[in-house]
Amino acid sequence: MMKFKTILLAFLSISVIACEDVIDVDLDQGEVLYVTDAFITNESTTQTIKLSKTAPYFQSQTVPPLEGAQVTVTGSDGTTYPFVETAPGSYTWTPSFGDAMDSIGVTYNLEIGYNGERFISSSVLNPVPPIDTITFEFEEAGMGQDEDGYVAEFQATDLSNRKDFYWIKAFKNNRRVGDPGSFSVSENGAFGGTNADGTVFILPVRIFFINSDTLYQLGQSVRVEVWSINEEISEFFSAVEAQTNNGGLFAVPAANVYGNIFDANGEPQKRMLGAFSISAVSKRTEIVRE
Amino acid sequence: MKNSLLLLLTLISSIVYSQKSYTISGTVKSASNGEELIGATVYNEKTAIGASANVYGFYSLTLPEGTYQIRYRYIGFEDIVKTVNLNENQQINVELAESANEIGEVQVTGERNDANVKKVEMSVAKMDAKQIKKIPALLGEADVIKSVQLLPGVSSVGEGSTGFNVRGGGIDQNLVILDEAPVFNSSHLLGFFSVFNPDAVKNVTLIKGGIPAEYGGRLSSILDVRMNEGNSKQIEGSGGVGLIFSRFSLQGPIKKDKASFLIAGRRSYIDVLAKPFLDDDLKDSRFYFYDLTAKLNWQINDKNRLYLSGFFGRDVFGAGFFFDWGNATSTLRWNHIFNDKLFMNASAYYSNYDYKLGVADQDNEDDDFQWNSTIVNYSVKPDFTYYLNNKNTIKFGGQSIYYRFKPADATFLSGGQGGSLSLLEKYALENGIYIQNEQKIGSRLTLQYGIRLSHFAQLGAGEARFYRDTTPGVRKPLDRVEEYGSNEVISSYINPEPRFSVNYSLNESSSIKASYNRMAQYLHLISNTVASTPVDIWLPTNNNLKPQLVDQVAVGYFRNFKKNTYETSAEVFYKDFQNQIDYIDNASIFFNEDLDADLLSGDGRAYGFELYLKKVKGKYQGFISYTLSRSERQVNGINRDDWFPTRFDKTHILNIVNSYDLNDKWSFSGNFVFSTGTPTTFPTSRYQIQDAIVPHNTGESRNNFRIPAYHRLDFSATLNLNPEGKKRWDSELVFSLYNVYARKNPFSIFFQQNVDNPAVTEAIRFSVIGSVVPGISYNFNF
Repeated sequence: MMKFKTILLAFLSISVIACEDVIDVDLDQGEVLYVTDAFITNESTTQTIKLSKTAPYFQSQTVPPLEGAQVTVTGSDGTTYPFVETAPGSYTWTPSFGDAMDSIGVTYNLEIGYNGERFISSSVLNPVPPIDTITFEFEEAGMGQDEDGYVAEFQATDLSNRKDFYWIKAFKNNRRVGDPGSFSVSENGAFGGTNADGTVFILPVRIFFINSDTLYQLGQSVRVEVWSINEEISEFFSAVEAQTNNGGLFAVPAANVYGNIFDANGEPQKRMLGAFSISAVSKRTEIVRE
Repeated sequence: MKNSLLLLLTLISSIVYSQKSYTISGTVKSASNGEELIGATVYNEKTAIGASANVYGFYSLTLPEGTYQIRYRYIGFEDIVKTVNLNENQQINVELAESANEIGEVQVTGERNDANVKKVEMSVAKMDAKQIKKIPALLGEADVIKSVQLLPGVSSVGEGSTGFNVRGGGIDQNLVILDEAPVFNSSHLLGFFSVFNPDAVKNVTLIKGGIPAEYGGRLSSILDVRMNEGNSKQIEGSGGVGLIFSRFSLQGPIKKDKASFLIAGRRSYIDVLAKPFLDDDLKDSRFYFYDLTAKLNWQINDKNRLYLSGFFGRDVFGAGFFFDWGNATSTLRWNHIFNDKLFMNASAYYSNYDYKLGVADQDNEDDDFQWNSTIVNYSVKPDFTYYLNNKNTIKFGGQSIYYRFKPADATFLSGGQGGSLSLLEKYALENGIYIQNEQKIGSRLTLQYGIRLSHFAQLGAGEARFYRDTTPGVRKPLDRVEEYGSNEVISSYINPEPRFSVNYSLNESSSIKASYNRMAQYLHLISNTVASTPVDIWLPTNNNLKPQLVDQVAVGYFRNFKKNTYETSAEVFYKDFQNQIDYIDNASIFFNEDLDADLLSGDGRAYGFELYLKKVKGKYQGFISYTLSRSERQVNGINRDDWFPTRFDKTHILNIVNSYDLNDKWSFSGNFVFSTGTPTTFPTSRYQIQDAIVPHNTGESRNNFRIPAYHRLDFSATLNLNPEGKKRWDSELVFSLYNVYARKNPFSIFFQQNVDNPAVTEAIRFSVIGSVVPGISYNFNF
């Protein structure tokens, strides 16, 4: 629902004499917490897990890395995938030719050791449907848009007889489209809870999820990716998005987001921030044409 | 509980009277348009016995046998004195003529001018349409709710927020009634304007404490909006043309003195004006609101009168998608005078609030998305007033409301394939009965005591979902679901609500008042946002969600100066809330059949001090209101279980409202408002997930900071185009400046990644109105 609401509110806000400006605010200092950013896929390419620490809110330098941790992923089929720190806080596993974490239905377990503490998480590799087409339609520049261009629409059909969660991303000339704090997530190709199982992805998903304020131009490449995710990751993304786009009249009270990384001994105070997810990915790229 | 019932019975049975007495009763109306004069006094000076007309203009005065001079009085009208030879019960209906206007002065009309000191009611503020129209308003459009927000104890979180907060209560804790029917969303355009057309409004009463037993269902206040009855003497029209919308109303007799009508409408026209400037693809854009108010009233005979009133308002937004919401209410009222002592008003109403949103693409028949939600209620409400004698006025009655909630109903069509999602409809029945007596003891003491017994039943067909307990603040796991058949009681609650007020007159011009009330509320607005949105849903109490309760005590000192030219009051209050709703972090509010699992319940408290100084006569009029208060919550699972200030907590609120009539052409008004910034939650830290930088508060605190203070100055000037009053066509021009010194009052401060450099995080001040807003409107009356 989030996306639809955002568009709606954007529309409403222009009819009002609202104004936004950057101001200086003194914030309290918080304690330092550990963060996992682990979104790996079934693809046969280098997989990266990033470990970091929280920083004061206005510290805009690079993210403080969590160095010297031990990171492994183990499939429920028994295969172990060791991740090695190749840059500060960046832990990678590079598959040999043809190798990948690609057993659909298998649960992959993450284990992180740091400073004598152990953190665990798990994620199931779910299947993903193919993207059938990406098409473009000419549109004149609307409100807040500088030039005419094209609106993209993709087609995909939800997998039948299962509750699926998809993370949908679009790239324009290999650059991510949309706001960095937004995650476009769909349940069964529709919005949360609708019994859309097995149907074509619904219209708002097909269009709103892959277009931004700036229209696509002829000759640009448009890549759409659909990632299968677990329900808890879908909830995690919604929670993150609620916090990163929390302005305007309809802001919700600021809330902390906790993902699926837990202390191995079950101590709730010690959990890590962030999330671990494994996805099957389908991709399609088209060049914008008439 | 038992004790208060006992007290009530004792007091009623202690009422004794001996002498042979007769009763004069009747109605008091305006001679110019036939409107009832609410609160008009009927008084005999010699015996110092008097009565006042109720909201239907009905009065009843009992005196011992004899001959009396009875004076009928209403401020702004000429007194009428009738000599009555009282040897039997008599019905006397009077019509008072408006007193000649002093030049250039807007006459304020109303009940007796020392009413604020003399009446038992406290924590009550009344405004009539004339007063509301004198307050400078956004774009020069007089507004009922915006005017109410200037009163002590009333606040809002800021421009663009719907609703208002009374004495530390949430916006859903106000019962807003228009001719008895509840209005669930009282705002147009997200709170910039309220749905009440000032041309159709007769008067507005806000009761925030010492709430009489006849009212129930909300914790914090009653906003009782009464529409004009319709001029029963002659046709009268009024209207206005403003920048945002135009208004027109017409009222007049259907049959002189017997039946009259009123019809009033408004429509905004930003869309019409913007049309030529919109691109082709936005040509279908729709954004407007409208409302229509209508009323018929029919005086069948001396004993019976019928009123039929209706309201219909809607806001519509659309451009490829559509989003619209609105209220519809209709009320049928029957005033019946059984005899000179027993008066009845029976009301039946229907009220509907709904919203719809979705995408509408005419060119594409295969794809569609629609979502709607509705709340409908039907009610009957008989109210009786029994004028036992001059010392005692007993009110009793009841109300029964049947609710039907459709929380969410969505349908979609995708590539020709369809589907739908509906949350189960919910049904409920709310009943209340009450009895209350207002008793005068001696010349100084007036008591009002009563009790309301309210009952709420969640009815089938439906299901009760039960959840297991877990750590507070975490989503509760579903335990089991039980199914119930049609009209079966799923859960029910009963609450006795004692009410008590006392007025002790210190002397002619000052009094001390105190009150206690308990209120129960069975409907809950589920809204986790800073400003309430039109898509927020109302939910009934159920097996998980308990009724909200509040106990309030208030004490006040009331004093008038210079022959009631100045009215002052000082009040303190303390409120203790139970079962206040809050939400777990990242609660899922829409389309969630397990919503109850995401709700938390906590306690609240609010306390404060209110000062009110009002000048009610003369060329210069106005008021100053000041509120010092605190509103807090304690909810397990939030803020590490500690008390925290509510989102609408404001320490200081100061409002200064002035109007000055310079001459018969020009009048000016200005107001200044100041309030402490509202609390908000600021992060301490940040971290990165994918491309997103996520704020985090390591202290898990809620509302740990305050946004900067809010202050604003507004001016308006009114030019009367018919100063001599020679033409029948009265008209005026209103020039207004809102936010004169263009302060960027923050509505909220939020945190985000810089658009150009996502690695940089920044704090953003969001102001709904960031500049001065000039306005002009033309009003007419004939």
